[in-house]
Amino acid sequence: MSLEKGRINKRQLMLGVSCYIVSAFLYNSILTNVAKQDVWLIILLGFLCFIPFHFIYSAIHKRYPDLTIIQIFEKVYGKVLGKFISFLYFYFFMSLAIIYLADINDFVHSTLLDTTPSYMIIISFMFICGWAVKHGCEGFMRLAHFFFALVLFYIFITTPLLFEEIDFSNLLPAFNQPLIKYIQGIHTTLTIPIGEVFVFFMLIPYVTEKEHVTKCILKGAFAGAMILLYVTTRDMLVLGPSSTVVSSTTLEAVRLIDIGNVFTRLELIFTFIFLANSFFKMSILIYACVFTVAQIANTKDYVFIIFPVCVIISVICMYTFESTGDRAIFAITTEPTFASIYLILFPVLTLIVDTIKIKIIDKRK
Amino acid sequence: MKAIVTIIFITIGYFQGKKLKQQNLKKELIFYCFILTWSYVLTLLWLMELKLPSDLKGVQYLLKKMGLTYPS
Repeated sequence: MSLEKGRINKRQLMLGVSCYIVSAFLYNSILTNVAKQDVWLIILLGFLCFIPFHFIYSAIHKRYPDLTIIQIFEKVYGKVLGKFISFLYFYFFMSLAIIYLADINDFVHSTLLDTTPSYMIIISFMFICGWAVKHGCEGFMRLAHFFFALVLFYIFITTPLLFEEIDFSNLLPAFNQPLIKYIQGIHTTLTIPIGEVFVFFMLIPYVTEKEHVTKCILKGAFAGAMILLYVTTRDMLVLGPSSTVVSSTTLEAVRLIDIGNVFTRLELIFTFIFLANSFFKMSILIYACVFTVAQIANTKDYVFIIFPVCVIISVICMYTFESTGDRAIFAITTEPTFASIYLILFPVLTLIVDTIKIKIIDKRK
Repeated sequence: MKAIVTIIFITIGYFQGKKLKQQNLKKELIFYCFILTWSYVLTLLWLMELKLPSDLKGVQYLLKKMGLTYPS
C-alpha cells in the first residue's frame, strides 16, 4: 500500500527543483565569501560538476522507478544495513531542515521581527510547513508554479532598478584566488544549493510521467542554477567587496534601490518572495524526514509522524547555532564534506553494489 | 509563553495518540509513543533552558579531527 495518494506531474517537479535551488538566495553570501568576485565561476562550474552525479542518480532511479531512495537502500543492502543507512539519511534530512530553519529564523529576526522571540518564529513557521505536509506532496508541489513565477517577477522588477548601482569593475581582478578557494567554492555549490535536489528522490515515485523524471530534474536544476548565478553575480556587481560581510547579498542589493524617493524599501517584496520559497523548501525537507521515518518503521500512515518530527526539528534548531556567524562557519568549513557523504558517497556506493549484485545474479543464472 | 507552547505540544500529542488508538493501529501507536517521547524530552530540556551539546557541532568537530574540513 502506498503511503502517498497524491500525484505530481513533470512540470511541477521541474519547477519544484528550481524553486528549491533558488531558495539559496538566503545564504548566497556563503558562496561570495568563498570565491569573492569569482562567485559566478564557482556557480557555473558547480552546476557542471553536478551533471555526472545527476547521471548516477538517474541510473539508480531507472533501475527502481517506483521506489523512494529509502526503499532502494533496503532492496540493495538488505533489511538491516538498508535500515541503518536509511536512518543515516533521516539524520541528514533532519540536519538540512534544522540548518535551513536556523537560516530562516536569523533572516526573519534580523529583517522583520527583531523583538519577537526566536522560538515563536520557528514554531509558527514549522506549523505552516507541517500543515502543508499533512495534505500530501501534491498540495505544496502545485505551488511551485506560483513561487517560480514570483521569483521571475522579482528578477524582472529589481534588475532594471539596480542598473544605476551596477559597477562592472567589481568583478575584477578575476581569477586571482588561491586554487583551494575554487575547489572549496565548487564543492560548496555542488553540495549545498544544487546537490540537495537529491531530496526529490523521496517524491519521484509519485510523479505521473516517470520516463521524463530525470530530464525534468536536470532541467529544473539548470533553471535554478542559472537564476542563482544571475542574481548572485548581479548582487556582486552592485555590492562589490561588501557582499562578503552581509548574510544575504540579495536583500542588501535590493535595499539600495531608491528611484526618486518613490521606489524604495523594495526589500519587502524580496522578503515575501523569499519566505514563500523557504516555505516550499522546508515543506519538502519535512516531507522527506517524515517519509523516511514512515518507511523505516513500515507504518501504514505518515500523518501522525509529522507533529513529533516538527517538534524535534524546532527544538534542536533553537540550540544548534549560537549566531549567524556560527552558522556561516559551519556552512563554509563543514557542510560540503558532511553533505558529500550523503549526496555523493552513498549514491555512488549504492550504484556499484547494485551493479555487482546484478552481475552475480546473472552469472548464477 | 514557553509553558503555553509546551501545553499546546502535549495536547496535540495526546489527541493524535487517541486518534491512532481509535483507528486500532497498534504498531503505529507504539512507534508514535517512542518518537513523541523523544520530542517531549527535547522540549523539556528546552523548557529547563539546559545548554545542550549540538549534534552538528559534533559533526564539525569530528570532521575537523579527520582533516576533512575547509579553512574558514
